[in-house]
Amino acid sequence: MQPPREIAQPVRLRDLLISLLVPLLVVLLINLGFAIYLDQRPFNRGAWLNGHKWSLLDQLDTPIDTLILGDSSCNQGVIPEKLGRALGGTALNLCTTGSSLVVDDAWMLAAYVERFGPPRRVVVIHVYDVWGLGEDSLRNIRWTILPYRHLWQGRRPIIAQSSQRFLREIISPYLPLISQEATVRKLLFEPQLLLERRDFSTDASGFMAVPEADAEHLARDIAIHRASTMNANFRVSDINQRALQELARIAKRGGFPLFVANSPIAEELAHDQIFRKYYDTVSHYLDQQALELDFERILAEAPAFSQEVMRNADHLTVAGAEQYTAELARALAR
Amino acid sequence: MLFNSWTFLVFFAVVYTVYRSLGTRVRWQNLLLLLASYFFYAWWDYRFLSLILISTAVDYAVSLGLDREANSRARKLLLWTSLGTNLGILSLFKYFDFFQENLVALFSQLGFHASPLTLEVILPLGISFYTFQTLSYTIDVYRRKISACRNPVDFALFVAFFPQLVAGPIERAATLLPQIQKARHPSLDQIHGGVFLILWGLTKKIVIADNAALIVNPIYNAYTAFDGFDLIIATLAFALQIYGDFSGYTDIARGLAKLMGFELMLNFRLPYFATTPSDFWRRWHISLSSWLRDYLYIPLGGNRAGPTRTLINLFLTMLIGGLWHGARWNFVLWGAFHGVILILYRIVDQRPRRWSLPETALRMLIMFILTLIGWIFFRSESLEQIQYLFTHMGFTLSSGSLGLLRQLAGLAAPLLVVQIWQQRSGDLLAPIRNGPLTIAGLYTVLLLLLFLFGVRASTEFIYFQF
Repeated sequence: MQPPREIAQPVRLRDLLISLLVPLLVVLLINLGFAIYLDQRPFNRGAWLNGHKWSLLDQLDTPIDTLILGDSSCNQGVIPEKLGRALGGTALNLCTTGSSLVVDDAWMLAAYVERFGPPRRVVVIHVYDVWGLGEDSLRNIRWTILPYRHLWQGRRPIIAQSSQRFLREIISPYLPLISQEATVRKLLFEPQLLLERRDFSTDASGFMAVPEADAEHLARDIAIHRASTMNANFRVSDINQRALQELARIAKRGGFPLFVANSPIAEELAHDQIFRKYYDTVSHYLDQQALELDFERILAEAPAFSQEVMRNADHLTVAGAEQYTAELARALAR
Repeated sequence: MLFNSWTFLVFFAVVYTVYRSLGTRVRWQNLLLLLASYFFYAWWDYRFLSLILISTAVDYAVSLGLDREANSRARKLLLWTSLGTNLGILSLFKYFDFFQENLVALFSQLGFHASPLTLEVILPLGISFYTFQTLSYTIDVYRRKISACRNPVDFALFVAFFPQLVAGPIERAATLLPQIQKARHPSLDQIHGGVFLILWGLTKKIVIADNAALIVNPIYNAYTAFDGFDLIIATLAFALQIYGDFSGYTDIARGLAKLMGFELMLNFRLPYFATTPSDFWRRWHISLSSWLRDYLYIPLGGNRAGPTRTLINLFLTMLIGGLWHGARWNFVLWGAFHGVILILYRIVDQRPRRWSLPETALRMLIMFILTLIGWIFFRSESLEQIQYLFTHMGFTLSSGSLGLLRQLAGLAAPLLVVQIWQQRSGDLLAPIRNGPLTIAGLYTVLLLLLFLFGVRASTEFIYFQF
């Protein structure tokens, strides 16, 4: 069998232009379609949550007494209404996702203080493993926060921006084929999902209620946490360290107390010796930072919850959120 | 600067715009391409640009001398000056540590003590490619097959032309230099072919090879944690990875050159459809295998000095071909393995080459399995690893085997479809021998594959290390 050759054949300019321009046009249209679709019908809960919490903050017209910042464990773990009742005053849950890192907390607090002045208190809650996450984790969701909420408004960046990155972040909301390729891939392979409406919602104070426990998910998640901490050494990421310093600086300047709490954690993990070795290192780091940066540590001992009130290893059901909020209120009142 | 990076896209867009705006002013175009090529290389490490400059200067001067000189002793001296300089640089940067370490090991086996003196220098990008290219030029001038290039810019561009500088194809002066010297008008069919080669090359690299690497690397890098069928899957995936990576690079290089009106040589002609080892080497890395044939195998005597000497020459050529890939024993073994199977086929397989379809298919399968065995030597990092892989491979499935196999099939499918199309039509450009709307459909699919399935982090091409 002879190996094939490369046989050149003449081509007309018209045909060449069609073969080049039609694909570009089709791909642009597909991209545009997804950009509009994903803007109208959010598919990714994390991306929706980031946008939603920022719009809660934007729509706020009166000052709040207790601001709650952090990740998704706190988004569905702290009930502002209950916390407000216990402490006296109002509370707002602005917690988003772990991959928004501590940096989003700093931007939100800065945005709040700029408009309303210092709140009475601020609580920051993150799962232990968020503290080690670097700037790469921010990459995929950054476009939901940065272009509109941060860079245009000239707030302090905290993260290092190369001009290439800056450009990418600005154009990425309009290029879902590049910035949300995993979502687009899923929708193309399971087109029935295009018709499915994903209704994400929180109450007016930003709390996302999740009613049912999920034992299977919990078991799987516990195994993942165990495996990922088994031989790992904790090191806070640069970007989180800078963001924590920024939070402390804003609090100091505004003269209000800043509290950093540990997130809820599954009982089984809290009693696991090997896991605790890593977990306690993170806690110890936060204790030290509290002394250095002058903020307060609360719920520093792993706040453990039984499997009946957990969705996974660090996310609570409504019943669990009631308990965690009560513990948090007690700690804040002390 | 990698072809599969946004930086390169910007670089090429700028260079191409200026290049085309210069029209047919070939001297200015060549100067632009030369500066762009040096910039392209310096982006990786500007210090090693000096090595290219040394090679270029020496070979330029030597070739002028060879052209002028009639005395055969003086001509030989000039040739050895070029060989010494180029092979000296190559040996120093690529092979010094390897030979030194092995000599020390040999001495200590014999009871002598010698302290090793390793240089631990970084391997300059593409050194083996441009060294072989410039060597072939000097040898051809020495053999009076071509005359020396008098324009230093043209010659420097021949050595450093950026599309093929770091991973080939290893061009011959007889075909590339005339293209550099005359005015170039990229024709519509060159642009047509060029766009296809770039898109298909990027797909092979970013979609197929880089995703195959996600199967290969975890298994080959922690091989002792795997056995049975997983090792076979990883080796199959490596066959996809190395082919997609290297032929993808070549396609992009050839496509870019076509857009500028150059024709670079074919480097791959569907190697996994080969039916014999010699057929494989007519299809795989053709620019290297033909270089080894013309500048090593034939000067060694080729097949003109009797059957035994022919076999020895074949083996030596393949051994050196293996060593060309890197200063490691696994590459030597890979070369030796190919030498052995070439010899065995030459001795055993004397039948005329008119085979029925089933026989062709069977031969193809056998050759593919032999190629896979070769890839085990090639991908392994130690003799222990090679031994482990050969003794632990099998058909026992693990819990992850079927998932890996599904991934592998998904990656192989587009490659297989396009290649069967190319092989059946006998034309590597068959996919663009269609109506414009069909081609537009094909390009749409390729673009979507690149956007949705491409591995985003710009990963280096495997052959850059050679």
